Amino acid sequence: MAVDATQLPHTTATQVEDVGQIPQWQLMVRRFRKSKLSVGGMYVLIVMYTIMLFSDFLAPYDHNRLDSNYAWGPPSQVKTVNGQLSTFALKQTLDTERLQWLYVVDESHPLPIHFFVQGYEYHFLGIFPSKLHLFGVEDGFQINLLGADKDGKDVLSRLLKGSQISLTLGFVGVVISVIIGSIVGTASGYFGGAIDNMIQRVIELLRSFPDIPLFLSLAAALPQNAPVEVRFFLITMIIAVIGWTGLAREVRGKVMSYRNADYTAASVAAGGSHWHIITRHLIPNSLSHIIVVGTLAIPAAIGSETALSFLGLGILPPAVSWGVMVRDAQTIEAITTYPWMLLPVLVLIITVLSFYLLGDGIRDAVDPYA
Amino acid sequence: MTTDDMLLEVRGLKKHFPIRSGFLRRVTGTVKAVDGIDFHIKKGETLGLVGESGCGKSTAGRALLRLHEPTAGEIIFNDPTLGKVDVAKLDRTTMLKLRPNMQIIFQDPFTSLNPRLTVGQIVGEPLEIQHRASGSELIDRVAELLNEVGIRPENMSRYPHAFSGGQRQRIGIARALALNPKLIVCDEPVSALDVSIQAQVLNLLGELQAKYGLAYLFVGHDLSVIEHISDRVAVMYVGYIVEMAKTDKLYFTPKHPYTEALLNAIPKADPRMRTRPIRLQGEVPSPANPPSGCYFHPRCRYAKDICKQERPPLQDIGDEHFVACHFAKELSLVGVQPLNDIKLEMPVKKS
Amino acid sequence: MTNQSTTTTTDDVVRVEDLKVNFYTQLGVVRALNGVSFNIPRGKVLGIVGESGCGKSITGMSIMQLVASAGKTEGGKILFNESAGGNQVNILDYERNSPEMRKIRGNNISMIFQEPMSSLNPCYTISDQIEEAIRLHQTNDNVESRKRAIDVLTKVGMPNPDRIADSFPHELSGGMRQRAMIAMALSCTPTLLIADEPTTALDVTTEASILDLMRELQSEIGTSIMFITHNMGVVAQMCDEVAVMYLGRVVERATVDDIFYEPRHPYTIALLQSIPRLGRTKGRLASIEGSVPDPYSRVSGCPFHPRCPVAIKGVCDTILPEETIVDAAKGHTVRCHLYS
Repeated sequence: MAVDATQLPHTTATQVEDVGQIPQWQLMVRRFRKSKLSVGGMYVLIVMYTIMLFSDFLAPYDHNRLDSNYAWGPPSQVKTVNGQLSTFALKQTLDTERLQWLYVVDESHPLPIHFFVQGYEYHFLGIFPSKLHLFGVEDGFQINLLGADKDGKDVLSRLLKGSQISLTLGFVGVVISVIIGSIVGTASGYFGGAIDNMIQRVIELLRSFPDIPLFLSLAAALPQNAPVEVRFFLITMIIAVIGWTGLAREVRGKVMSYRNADYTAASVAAGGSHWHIITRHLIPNSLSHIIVVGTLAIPAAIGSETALSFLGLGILPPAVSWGVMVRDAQTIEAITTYPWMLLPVLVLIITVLSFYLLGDGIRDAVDPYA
Repeated sequence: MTTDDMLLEVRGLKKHFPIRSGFLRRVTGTVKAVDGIDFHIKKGETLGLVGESGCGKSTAGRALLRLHEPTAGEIIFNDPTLGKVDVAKLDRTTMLKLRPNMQIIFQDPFTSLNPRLTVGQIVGEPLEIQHRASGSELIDRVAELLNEVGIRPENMSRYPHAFSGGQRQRIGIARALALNPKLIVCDEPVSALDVSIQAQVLNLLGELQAKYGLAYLFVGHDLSVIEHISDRVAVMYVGYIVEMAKTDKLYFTPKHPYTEALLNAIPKADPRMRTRPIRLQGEVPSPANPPSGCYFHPRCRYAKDICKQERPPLQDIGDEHFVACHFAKELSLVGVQPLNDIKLEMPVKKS
Repeated sequence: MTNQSTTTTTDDVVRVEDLKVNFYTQLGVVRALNGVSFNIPRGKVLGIVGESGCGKSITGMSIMQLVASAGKTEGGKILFNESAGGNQVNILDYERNSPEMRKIRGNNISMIFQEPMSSLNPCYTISDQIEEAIRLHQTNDNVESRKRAIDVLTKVGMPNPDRIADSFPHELSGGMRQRAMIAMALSCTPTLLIADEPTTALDVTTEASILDLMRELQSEIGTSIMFITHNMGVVAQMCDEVAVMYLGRVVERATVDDIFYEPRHPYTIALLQSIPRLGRTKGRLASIEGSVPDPYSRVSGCPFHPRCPVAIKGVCDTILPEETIVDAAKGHTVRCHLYS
């Protein structure tokens, strides 16, 4: 009987053992780690989603709290006064010529920043009622680290609150379309024949609708006065319904190639059921590709939500998303005089870019030769 | 030859693939990959199935296991418990009971093992599907199988990517052995391997056959390998078997002009036996659009008028020698010459 | 006996001396060629034979300077001599993309590959591609180049050269494509033709006719051929002389007759024992234990010692054997301690 190569002296057994024991997904993780940009993107996203979870705690104010004393208020200055981190009261004057609010920092009136203060009530993770906030100042004054908008609403609080919708809506929409796409794509690719033919024709039909008008008309048909949760759910569904077709095609292609693989044939020859073959061979092998396609679809979905909200067809005030905030920043005045109004755009760019970097990295790790 | 020796009898097996085109995927033609072949395999013997690419040899092998649903024909299998059954007509549940008897090993050691599963999971999968073993019993059985094919059982928790081509092929063989089959379809199992590894795998197949009384349908294109491993050989050309006989008969006294050309073309590993090939006219016809009469006639140097009109049936000309040629009895064709017997011995250090 | 050639003649088309090529990959350094030396006598067919990973293809690519960019040539010479008694040049002195190198490539040395589809451009007809080479290196005249293209297609046994010339690669069968490739390679009557497994992807009858064609053209044009293959049968049928490679080194070099009838290196012997011989072997084949070590590892001493049945402990596993002459008259050399 011939010798197994690992018994030969020239291959150090421990080294071979090491690599051999590693499941394929771990090898992918190793390859992924080699791409610094993608790992960076992943960390940025982890930080963003963590912040999102604690957004109510981190936000000093309710996102809709108005205070005309701070309309178009600039970002607060923070300095140490008497050993305490403080900001300052503002004096508001009206520039009558240009009809603009002018703010002067009143250095004689420091406002010490207090930590772990009580503020507006919220439900942490949607369950535990709490009033605790990370920081705040004396009642009657306001701290706007990232400035305030035309009604004196705190931009930081709005960004944080908006992340709850912007970061989840696209994500959930893609998850739903991944689920629909995977099921339909697997069925289409595995069973082939008439089923495949029918599904593919339906997908072609759906894809031949022009995207944007379909999107807009669906969004416009949504009830205007529905509660924000319902609206959120419906917009998610719109994104999912439009997004699943491309995914189903990708999955179908993969499933078809794995269905024709020799290991699938061996499974059939041993008497494996459809369910066994799909769950044992087809799905695990397709999964990495599904994740790649899904990851790369999220930024597009986030973009869709932003676009809808920007056009006033998505999330509507009083609810806030980054798209809603971008809508507030659409005047030239905002861009030139109140540049902090553009922060949501910056945050959106960072998020979308991070998702693309992450997706590219996963794709390279999953399929190094593609 | 008693009928009890018979393990498998195939009669008129056909596998046609539809050619579809257009938006509605209408059938616009058929590829007659296998177009009515007859052969049999006895218990414990090896039938070599040889032919050039596209002749349908792999399709035929897969159709036996219903990995391709046969278009027509009978596949009579002599099952130890069910008796003689026609595999082509079995329903799913009966087929499930019969499947352990017929297994397959593949050509490409890199695509035949699922990269997501460990070697233990791969070899144990057939046992799980057939509910033959589970838990520690399963692990013991897998270890036994791996030992059988020369892979150390400690490797059970490793993944296919850690193994060389030859080792992967051994793992594939262990998987095929798991259910104690009576027949294994070997679909070009050594074509993708290096010469030295090829010998290891051929030896392993020989050992396993002797030990378990396995029958092989050995599909291949390397005529030297086929000669080495087969008891009998069938030659396929464009979906048909043109000649089938005991190995020595077929190689030394071929009766079909195509076999003659094929044998003549073998690159003989002996520089003192160089041959000029028989020039075959034209190309192998497409199985979607074969010529009339005998499919080989446009390329055959012995072809007469009748060859253009009538397709010769596969006839027994005595002693299990089957030929599909109108002139099988008249033609005297040239077979192979045995290569010179070179004594090769390992050198020893002269001191 | 068909060939009784000698390597004592100094007229070599190519002499490769101590060629070293390393590949730098993410997983480590692959020492593809560890000091390869051999010569290709003018007008002869030299077979380079070995298992996958032995470096036989890289050797061919190195002569053409076509090794992928991860591969670095780290030593050695490739001396090319266009005509007998002519100027000898070291190919490695030229830059990869220098005009001199481009002139050598295609005009003096051509190459054909295993998969003809990868070297034929699917967008151009066969004659476009043959004429391109001719116009690049020989003539500017359209009519003349077309005529030569048809000539060379006729020469490679195309049944219908005019029609074939105007067809696209995908319209031809595998054997026809390989013929077209050979026609392209021969269009400028190169001094050396490097054939890298040209028949491996072909069916046995097509393979036989291509080999026959190559032998015929070789005796007619006198081109020297470096024939890279793993198939001992093809070597026996095709080559005059043989270099057996293992793990980036030539382990044995002899005439084809000696390789088959009087092999000396344990690896050559084992290789020959492991192939089924028509009409001769039944039952077990003698096989080589183990498999070729993975490319990232380095083997001390003789590269074959871990698999060698007659390795000498303390010698073969520590000292790299030198090239030893076992038959000077026939130029039979071997790298093995048993002969030193």
